[in-house]
Amino acid sequence: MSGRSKVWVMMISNHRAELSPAYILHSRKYRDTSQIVELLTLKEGRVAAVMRGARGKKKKHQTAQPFCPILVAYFGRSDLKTIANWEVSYINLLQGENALIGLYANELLVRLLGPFEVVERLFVAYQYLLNALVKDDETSQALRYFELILLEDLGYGITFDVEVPTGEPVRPDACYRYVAAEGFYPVDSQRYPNGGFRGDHLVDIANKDLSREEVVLTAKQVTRVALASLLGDKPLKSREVFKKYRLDMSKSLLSDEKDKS
Amino acid sequence: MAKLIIDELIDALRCLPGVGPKSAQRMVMHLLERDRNGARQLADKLVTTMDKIRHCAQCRNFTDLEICQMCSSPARDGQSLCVVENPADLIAIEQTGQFRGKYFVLMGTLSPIDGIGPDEIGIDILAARCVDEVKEVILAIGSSVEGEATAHYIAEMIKPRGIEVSRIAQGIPMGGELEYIDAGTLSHALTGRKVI
Repeated sequence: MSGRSKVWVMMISNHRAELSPAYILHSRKYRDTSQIVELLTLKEGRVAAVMRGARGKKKKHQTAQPFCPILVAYFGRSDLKTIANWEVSYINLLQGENALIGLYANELLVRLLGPFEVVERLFVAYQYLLNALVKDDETSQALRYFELILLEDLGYGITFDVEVPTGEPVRPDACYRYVAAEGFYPVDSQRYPNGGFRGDHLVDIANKDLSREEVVLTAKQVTRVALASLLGDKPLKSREVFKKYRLDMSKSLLSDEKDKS
Repeated sequence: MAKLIIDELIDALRCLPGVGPKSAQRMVMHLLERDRNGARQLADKLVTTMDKIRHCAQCRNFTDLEICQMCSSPARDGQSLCVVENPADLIAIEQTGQFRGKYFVLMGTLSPIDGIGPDEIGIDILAARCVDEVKEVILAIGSSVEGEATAHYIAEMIKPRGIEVSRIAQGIPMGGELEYIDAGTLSHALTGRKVI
């Protein structure tokens, strides 16, 4: 194909490319004025694309920011698409600790989600999480729900209401331990450290009922084990950031109390 | 066959941003044909700079001293500390002439996906700095999601020590027309409005 007709085909496909909902997960600088962005799209899952003219003094568009729902049209045959057109639907401002949680969710998606895996339910769960973070309301429930859906959509969904190895339903009054990729084994709560996971919590999680705080905590511990097994030997950086954050905060508070006394 | 010395130099020059094979070749030819002395000087300066420049122990800015000139200057007010992302931002703030305190350079912002955590931006050095004479910390960090996370981290860490923490205002640029300003900037400008 000659150069001119190639440009023409690109223009045609430009016109055809429809705007579809997406979120920017991450962007990095590319050349002088462009960015390569990792998108979470409703239609095609994770997509990497070049956003031209996104940086610099004469930038054509407003700056691309994570967490804001955008409408985007892209084209291209290779895995790295080119963005033809995009606009921000509305602005989500995540503040303080919630911005750290948002970055954690984004890191999970970038690390675990393969390109072009269609994940409509996950997209909705991500949206739900961001709304919770913006309102600063029920954030931990939304985060656990997001992690559970992420595991399910990756094909590593956890069956919370069945015992292994028997296949019997989980008993609400029993205790269990969790083994990644296998499931819940009944244990003797007297002998097991911390008593294991309680059956009634697991039944609640299986029914996606995260209204009780201790159930949310159980979900957090189980998803952490499950996600760690998928992440392999390179742990999440955002978790490390969180750990150090908590440590620094407690140090600061301690020194403050010392000053007062 | 071993690579020609010229080709090696062309390859080496490509580590500069925005320099491709063609412009690298043009630079090499220019230096060889017209400015050998200049090239020698450049090579010499590059080696000295790379050997001698390190991070200031107090502010992490680039310097050839243990503690940089700005940090050791008695003319600057040690009570207020301005936290910036990188040395270029420091220069930009210096050019405004509005700030007479000292600086701290993070050399980046928290960005877990890029593998940049608190250790990489020198949080511990900053924490150690905020004990003695510092009374005010100004966070002059860019308005991105990563910048927001970084500012929050530092603010939460420093506030309990009784130090005043502020973040530079975000909003309408000089001569800006509201109609053309993006929604994000405008909403920042509204939430951060000032009583007059």
